[in-house]
Amino acid sequence: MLFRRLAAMSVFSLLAALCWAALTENQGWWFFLPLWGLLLIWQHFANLTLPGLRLHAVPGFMLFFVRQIVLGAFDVGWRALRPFPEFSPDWQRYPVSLSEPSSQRLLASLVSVLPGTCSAQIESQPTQNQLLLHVLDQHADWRSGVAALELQLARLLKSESPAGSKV
Amino acid sequence: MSGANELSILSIIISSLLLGIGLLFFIAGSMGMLRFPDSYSRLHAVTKADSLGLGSVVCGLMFYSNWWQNLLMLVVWLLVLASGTVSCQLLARFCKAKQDQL
Repeated sequence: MLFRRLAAMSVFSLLAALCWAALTENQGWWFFLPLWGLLLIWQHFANLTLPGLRLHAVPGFMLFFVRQIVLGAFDVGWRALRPFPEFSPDWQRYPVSLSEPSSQRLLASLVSVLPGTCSAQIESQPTQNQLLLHVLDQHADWRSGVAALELQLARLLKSESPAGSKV
Repeated sequence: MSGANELSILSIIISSLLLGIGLLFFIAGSMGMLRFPDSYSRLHAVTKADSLGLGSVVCGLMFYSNWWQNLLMLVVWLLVLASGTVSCQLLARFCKAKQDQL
């Protein structure tokens, strides 16, 4: 347990340091140090770990994700620019099949780039957690997009089975 | 870094097209901010349109830069994408909690 936490801390620190070195051209390390401390505290208390990935599923997930970014942007861009925009926004709930809390958090974040959906909260339920989503058009088929993203995440993450239940 | 005068006509056309598309999505995102009916809908506009807009601008600029600068721009885009999706969720949660209190 301790080894896993130390390994996660080391990986987080290394990634943060690499990003800092690249983006600042290896400058300003005195400013980085307190940020690094804050990052480690956050990582400790939020119990953040890097998810294990099934590498063969990465290309498929990336293609799916880029396609969804493009579709989502076209959808919202068309709604913004059309002469007579029509809206029927509403709050909807989506039961999550992913079992791990970290996977559910990832789904909740990524849902915001899908066409017409934006997540606000993961609601804890006794049987199955639910995503509280704001949808731009309640009559559109937003559920199939979220289900497809969930399936892609279940294939990608090692802690999930491809059907979406815990391994 | 290679200059614009070293690029072929085709590269200049593709790069200009990508920069133009990026600009169009930024405009669409800004229009969405003005025209969408509520705060939550405006979050959709900013998150989605600006993410693709920045991605398109990054792709357009890649024609003028070396591999290291391209890598940095990709990292910047990924960081903006990640922060956009997370902050969209946090803002929506905050607005919903405030709304439920009233």
